[in-house]
Amino acid sequence: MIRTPAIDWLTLAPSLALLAATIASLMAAVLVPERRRRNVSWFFCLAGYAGAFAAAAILFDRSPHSRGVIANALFRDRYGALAAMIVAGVGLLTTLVYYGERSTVDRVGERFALLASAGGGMILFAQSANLLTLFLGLEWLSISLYVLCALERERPEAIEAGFKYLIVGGFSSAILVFGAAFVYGATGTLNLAQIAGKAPSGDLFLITGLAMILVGFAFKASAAPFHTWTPDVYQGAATPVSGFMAGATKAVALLVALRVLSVSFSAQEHLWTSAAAALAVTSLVVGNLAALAQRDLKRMLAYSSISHAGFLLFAITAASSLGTRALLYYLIPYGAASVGVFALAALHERELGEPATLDNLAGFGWRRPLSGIALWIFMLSFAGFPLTGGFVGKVYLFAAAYRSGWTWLLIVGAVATLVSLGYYLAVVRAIYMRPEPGEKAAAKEEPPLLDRMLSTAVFAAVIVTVGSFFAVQPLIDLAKHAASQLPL
Amino acid sequence: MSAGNILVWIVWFTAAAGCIGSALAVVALRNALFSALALIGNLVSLAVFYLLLSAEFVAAAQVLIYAGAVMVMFLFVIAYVGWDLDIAWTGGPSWQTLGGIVAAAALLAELVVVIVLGAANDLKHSNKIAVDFGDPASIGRVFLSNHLLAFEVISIVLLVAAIGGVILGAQRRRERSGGIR
Repeated sequence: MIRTPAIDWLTLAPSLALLAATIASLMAAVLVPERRRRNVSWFFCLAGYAGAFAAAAILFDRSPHSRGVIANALFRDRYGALAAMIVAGVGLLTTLVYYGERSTVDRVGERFALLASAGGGMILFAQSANLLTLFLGLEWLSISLYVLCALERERPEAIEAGFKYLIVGGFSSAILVFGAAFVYGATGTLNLAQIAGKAPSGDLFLITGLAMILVGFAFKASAAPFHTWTPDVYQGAATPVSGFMAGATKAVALLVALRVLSVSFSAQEHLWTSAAAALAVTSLVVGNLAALAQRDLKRMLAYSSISHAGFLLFAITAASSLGTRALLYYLIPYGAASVGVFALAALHERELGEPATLDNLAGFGWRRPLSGIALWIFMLSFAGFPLTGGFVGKVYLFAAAYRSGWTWLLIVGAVATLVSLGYYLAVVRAIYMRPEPGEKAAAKEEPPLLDRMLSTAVFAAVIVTVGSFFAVQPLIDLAKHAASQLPL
Repeated sequence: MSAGNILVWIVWFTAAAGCIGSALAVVALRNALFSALALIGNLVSLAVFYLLLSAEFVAAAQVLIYAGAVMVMFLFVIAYVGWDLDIAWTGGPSWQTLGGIVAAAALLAELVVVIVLGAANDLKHSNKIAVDFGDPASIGRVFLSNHLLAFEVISIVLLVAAIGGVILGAQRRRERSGGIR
């Protein structure tokens, strides 16, 4: 007689909601008549993300103590639940933006199925409590994203993006799994909580495994020097998908990295904090300098996301409760602003029919005043200006690094922020202060509101980005409850 | 020596001869298609070794996954590229040859060291394992107890991969037939 473990359905509920949404949108893509197909699939995806968000919120509320469930395959805790809420929130906004994305291939149903599926994988990844479920969650989300990137087969850039992401992603997964094998060899367990203390802290296998796992996470979080795929993939993928990758994939990769490092490798803290500091500095240097040289908006945003990986790595470098709180908090305005800014890029692309560049953005702010202001707000939040959540997030991250004694990292961060103004403000300058090329008569009147869904998403993203500045206390409290469940 | 033992020796020698012979054939044959077919023979004779070691699950996995699925993929790729190319292989870059020799030598050295240490009972960890280690029943039990969730999630991952394959593949078929909408 086999004793199967007890199933904790509430812990599974967020990813199950998205799995159900995947199946439902996929069935809709087959069964529903063509003219309704987009709406029905889209609705299921939206409902899936809304359901996942609600389930994660309930899970957050009902998990005051962290524990392993389903034979220690998943953690039932507030840290995972908050990560699930961030993913679901970003996914919800992305679904809204993705609705109006034009397609040269008839794949409107499948795209929502894959979007929901990616979210489900991310949530499982964020909750995973052993190396096996961690890897499977990673593959689940990655495979969905590979296909999403390559979905627009008509565009060569999309194929390039999908292929590049597949190769690099597969490579990084292989490194991670190899590292996990080393860790298993050294400790004899896959359980994250049991890895700590199973082997001497200087064990060569364990440290090799740790290094390889760290590299795997750095690939997924697109931290330099493991970032080379990011610009091409963000540029080639459908714009809403790029926003989703910037906002959600990076978030879960960093959150899970912090969890694995703090839970399983507490004895090697001096090693991985130094490694994270090195990754952070490289990302800041590479991301910021390369972003300055970009003319293509999506490429620039990709480099900006690399530099943000650097800032977010401050939290891992700090290895403290404050750092965890800062990371969880910062991911909220960062995720919203990422989706928002890519949504505006998508809007501009749809109007123009060509990729958004700093040159063809000229006059965007006058033509669409509200979108212009929104773009401005997102840029300021990325740069860390007051009145946006980005400001508070950055202050918190810097404070965490300072508290843990990484003063020199602070200086690098401050210089990087100054440099980043160069390209963030260049966007603002481009949309207001450049003369419109060839002053078209048609462009002078306010164009009709193309896409109500997209506008709703941008509006919601603005609310979150600005709201997180004013509602700091409740959000920090949420982050504090979640952070207190990590052993830092 | 009992009759059963003699049978085991006969099976072992047949498998060993098949293994080495097919391995040589993989390298020596000029036609990629025949090389791939010889590789199947190699993988199957390895599976026989696993059976002799009473690792039934590994043997089954070896046949199903490597000799089955992976080799079918190999053959498809070869058929796709064209297997009847009469261009003689002139050898890769010299660093590749050198690297291959070094890697093979390292592997051989490693095996010899392990065999010698094992014969002298000098290995760091004991080479005695439980009788039911790795048999299908115990693996099945692990799938349904400790790793139940992972076992189920694998099916989701495969499902997503299959969906992705169908989506991308079906698009290409439609392009070929010229019916792009």
